[in-house]
Amino acid sequence: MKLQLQSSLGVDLDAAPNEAGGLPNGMALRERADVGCVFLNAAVNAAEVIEGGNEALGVQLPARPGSISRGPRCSAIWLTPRAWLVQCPVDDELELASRVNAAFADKRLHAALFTDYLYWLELCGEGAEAILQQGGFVSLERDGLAVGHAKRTLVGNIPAVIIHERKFEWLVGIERSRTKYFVGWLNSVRDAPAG
Amino acid sequence: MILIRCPYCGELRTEDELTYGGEANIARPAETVSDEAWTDYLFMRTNPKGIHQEQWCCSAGCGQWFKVVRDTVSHRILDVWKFEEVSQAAEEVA
Amino acid sequence: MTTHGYRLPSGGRIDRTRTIAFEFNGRRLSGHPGDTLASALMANGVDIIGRSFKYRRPRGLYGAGVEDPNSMVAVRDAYGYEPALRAGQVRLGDGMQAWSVRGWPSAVFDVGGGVQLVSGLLNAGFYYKTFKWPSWSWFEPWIRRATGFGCPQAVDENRKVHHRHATYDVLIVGGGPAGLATARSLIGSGLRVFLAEDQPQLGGSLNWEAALIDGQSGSAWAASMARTLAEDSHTTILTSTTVTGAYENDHFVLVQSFWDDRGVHTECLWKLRAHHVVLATGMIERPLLFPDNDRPGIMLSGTVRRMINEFGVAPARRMAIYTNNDSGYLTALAAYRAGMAIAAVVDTRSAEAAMHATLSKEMGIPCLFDAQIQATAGYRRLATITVRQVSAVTKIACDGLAVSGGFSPCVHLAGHRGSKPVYDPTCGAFVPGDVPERWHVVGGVKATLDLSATFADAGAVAHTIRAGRGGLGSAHSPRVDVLSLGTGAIPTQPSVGSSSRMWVDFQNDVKASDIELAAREGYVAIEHLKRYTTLGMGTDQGRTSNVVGLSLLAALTNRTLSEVGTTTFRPPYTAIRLGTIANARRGDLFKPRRLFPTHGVHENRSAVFEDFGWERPDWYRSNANEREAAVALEMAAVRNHVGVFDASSLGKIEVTGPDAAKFLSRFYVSNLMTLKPERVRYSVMLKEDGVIFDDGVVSCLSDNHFLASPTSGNAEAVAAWFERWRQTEWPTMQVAISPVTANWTSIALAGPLARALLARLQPDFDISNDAFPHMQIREGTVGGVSARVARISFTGELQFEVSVQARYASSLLSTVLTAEGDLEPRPVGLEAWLRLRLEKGYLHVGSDTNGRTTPLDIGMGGIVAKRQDDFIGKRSLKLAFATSSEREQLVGLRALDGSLEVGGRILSRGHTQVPCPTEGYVTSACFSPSVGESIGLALIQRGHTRDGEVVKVFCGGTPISCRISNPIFYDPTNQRLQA
Ligand SMILES: [Zn+2]
Repeated sequence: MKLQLQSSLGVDLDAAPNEAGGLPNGMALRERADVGCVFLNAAVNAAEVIEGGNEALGVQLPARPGSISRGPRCSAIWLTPRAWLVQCPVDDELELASRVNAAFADKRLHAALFTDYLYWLELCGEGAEAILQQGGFVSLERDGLAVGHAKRTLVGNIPAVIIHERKFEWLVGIERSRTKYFVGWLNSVRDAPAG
Repeated sequence: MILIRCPYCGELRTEDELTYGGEANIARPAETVSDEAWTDYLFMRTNPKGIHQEQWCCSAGCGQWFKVVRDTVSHRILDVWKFEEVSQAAEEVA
Repeated sequence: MTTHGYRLPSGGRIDRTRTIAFEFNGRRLSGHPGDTLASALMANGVDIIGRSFKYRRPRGLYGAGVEDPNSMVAVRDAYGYEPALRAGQVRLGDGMQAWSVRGWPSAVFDVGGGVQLVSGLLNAGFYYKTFKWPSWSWFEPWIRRATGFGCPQAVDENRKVHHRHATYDVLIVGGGPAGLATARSLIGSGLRVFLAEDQPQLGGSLNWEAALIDGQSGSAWAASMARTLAEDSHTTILTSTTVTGAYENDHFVLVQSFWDDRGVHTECLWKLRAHHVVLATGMIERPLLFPDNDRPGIMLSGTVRRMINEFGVAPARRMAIYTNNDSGYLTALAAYRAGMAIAAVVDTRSAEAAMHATLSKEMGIPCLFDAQIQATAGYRRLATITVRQVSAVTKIACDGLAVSGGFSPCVHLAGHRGSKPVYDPTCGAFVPGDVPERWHVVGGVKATLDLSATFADAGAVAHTIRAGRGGLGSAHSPRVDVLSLGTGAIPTQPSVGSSSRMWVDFQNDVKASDIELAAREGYVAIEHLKRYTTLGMGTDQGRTSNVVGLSLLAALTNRTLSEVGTTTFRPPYTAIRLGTIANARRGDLFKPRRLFPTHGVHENRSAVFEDFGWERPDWYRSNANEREAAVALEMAAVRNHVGVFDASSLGKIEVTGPDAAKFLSRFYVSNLMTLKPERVRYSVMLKEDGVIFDDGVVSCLSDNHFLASPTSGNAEAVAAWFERWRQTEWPTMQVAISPVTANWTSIALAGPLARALLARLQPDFDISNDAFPHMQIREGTVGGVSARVARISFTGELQFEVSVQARYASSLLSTVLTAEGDLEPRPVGLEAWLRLRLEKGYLHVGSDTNGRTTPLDIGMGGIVAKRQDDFIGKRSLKLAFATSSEREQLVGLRALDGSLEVGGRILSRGHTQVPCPTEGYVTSACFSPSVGESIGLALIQRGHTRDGEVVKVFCGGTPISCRISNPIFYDPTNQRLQA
């Protein structure tokens, strides 16, 4: 037997804003169920595990806060001085995690399955940042969160991972149990004035 | 609004994203200490009006604890440093 | 009837081509786009807008904006209802309805007028005194009915709300001449500038003062500035936007209104952070004291100019001016030019003012010097003033009186940051003292009355700010041809008339005599005076009255104004609607509610959800239509065949690394160093004070890889607790903490047939009793997907907890619930689950423990005693409080008669009736189907030594008898969960 995948995450996304839903300024919002995740967490200083991690994943684990590095199979986002979020196609999650765990049998670096912890929404369009800024500063820096960078922050009163993928293109990851809340929140703030 | 630049992730964080951890540098005694020493550790704090060394956590960000010198009257942050570092400002006020 | 106020045939910035209809107190009136409710009411000749708070005196418009203490109105526009606004704040909207908020039963005919007869009762300190004697309750009903600021109304709220968060280099507060000139001089600097103006158009006083700048009128100059700034990509200008608060570390809160012809349709609450702040908030005029100074028709002098020049409204037919400074003459001039009759200019000063000669010679306006108003008269509206000079008393007929006692800078925002205003005796005003770093003060707010000086100042401030950016950009220096308000004015005290007829604070009806009384009774500190008299405590926050009041106090106590000081300024500057603060946080979005990934499956089973942060099924309508019946069936399913319980909210924290076991052992009362792979152990966790914080099982998945399962409510707190100790106390331990709760869904299968049900999911490992005994865990695949299965029990039955990644959750739950054959699995809700564990005597942290309970109190003393090494909270268990023989200890209770209920107090020994001392309480209770009795857990003093004792427990309003027992009521030898 094989249990069935539940792609809509059990949440009524008909109520969610989408391309047909009339977001302002040609904005688009879509679920990214294709994004898989592994949570990498070191029990020791990052310097001691980065090399082994790089080798197992084929991506350079970034040491700089906020930065993302991209590899052929996955990309790695800096989360803490000792932890990274690895994004990969959802079907690669198990394999990537087990490669890390095999490389670190003593658990100095641990790869936890994390795909279902986070729910990813892609928000595109000129007004995307203004919508996110209804729920928080996104960044208190003068120039905002730079393209190609990620950070953890609060959006709409809940913790989120925000990735500024490209200009006017944002990827927001929130803890899965709060999906319905977040989609409801997005709906309630969707017609924010841009600019 | 308290505003601190986290020394680990480098982001400016408002108090919504931070957790206050009380006075810093309270040493945890061994279990062999006297009742008085232990209860001092549990409950006694300096609670100054003015310059205060304290622990804060970048709880909605990178999750790291760090130390801060804060003026409890103005909320001015005089210094922020990592646990593994030493603060110049903290040494001066000490 | 000829009205007093009327619309001038021309002038003003209103759109005379269009007419807007509105209602005031049920009267149909009309105005024009560009009007405020205040100007429209005045144009319609409405004299009385409300009644005063205590004495019910008729009150008319006094100020043109937020400073007005009088014109409190409730307003309903097309988008919503506001119970308490000042008429000058309200942009007139088509179809708008407005009401006096203090005119019960009507503003014009007022039964409460009789209050004036008993006014002796209501002097300063009325509230202080009646709380003490004779009795507040005598007065309360009458006070409550007769006073207050409008009523809430249940109306459909169509106003939209947005929140914005933004960071800028420079925030300029105020879009008058000072703010505009500063913003203009910052163009090209590369700095991102945010200018907030609370009026709908930029220009501030230039919109109503007769200025000439760079050869054009003040308003034309402001309009050209607005165009220039709008073209600059680095400048953001928001009009109709009030900066309501300044907070530490450069944070500000702003409220922006968006309105159309029908009212305010949207509000946006900004949280703004700005590196530099330019305070260009200008000034508010302050009044003069004289007897009966509150009659409708008397208003601030600048308000008269504004009514004429901005709105094209004449406030009266025959105007008198009462002033102690030059600006009064500007009003006389403006009123004269608008075609109003000028009765006189009454000047308290002896020196001639600059404009006096022009006025008196060319226009024939009489000017009286060394003069004070000693009386006013008029029914419902001013009719005459009586002016006293050294050698003459003159009665002058007038239906309007413009009053100017000088200016009070709007220092509020600096005050929010703790900056104490300082008294500048040369201009007679409190100006900002030491302002916070990177704050700059320009123009009227520092009592600069001359426009040239303001522009010079703006240039200097812009230069300072630009210096930080390498001096990019260049200064802009407008040439001012005309406008000065003259010199400032020292607050002057009246020397004629009765102080009990002089109103200082119109909104709270505080009279000069109240301040005298307070001073006599010793309330001479300004903060005391405020609270004793309620001076400045109204919704207008004493904008017009504060300086008048404290200069009076200074005079009474022979102190300078500096010595008296001001009261503290606190946010918000103007009221913010709660709905605007709440924004999306209402209804379903009030707080983030967490849903199980299986939520839909539970809904299909008609689960009745309870909100525990997580939405959790309490019981299932699919089991029975009524809660008790359903719970009984759900319990029976677990005891007799198999029940299915969604435990997804249970915390899951992976603790990994070479020191993981050692690390965990420092948190739990039990030693986890000895926990082997595939083994599970239950324990409790303490805070450093020895009190139980959480409980749960810890599983060893493999060497250096553990899974801690804190309770649902504490999952995040426990992960944070672990992390804090790792980082701050034990940084050298090699351990990592990974909270993964939401990644996994956990479905518990409990009951004698649990193993058979698990087998249906085709696990790829041996689940027989020998291969997979109680308190063990396996990783493998279940239902073809990776899973973790723990054999633990919260119910006392054979139980497996199956965890799969959340994307398979619904499929897993549906599969087990629809298992065919004789298994008959039933969904089990939280209520049944908790009762099952109560039968087994298992602890529920937070219910069966409180903020004092230690592991010694719940029977874990033996485990504590065995621990050689330290753990968090251990040392506290040796303190006298923990070892006292009087501790409340957890025991079981069996009711001998009646039913136990949670919270029932245990009567102290020897007592059978209440009231009496008690010695503990029932922490959990239910009727147990398995035992056939009403059972419970209780924290009872010395409980562990009292097994078998019969106690009285106050339940259901009466003491019942119960026997103290072992808390394990069901299967005390654990036969069933080992099966
Ligand atoms: Zn951080």
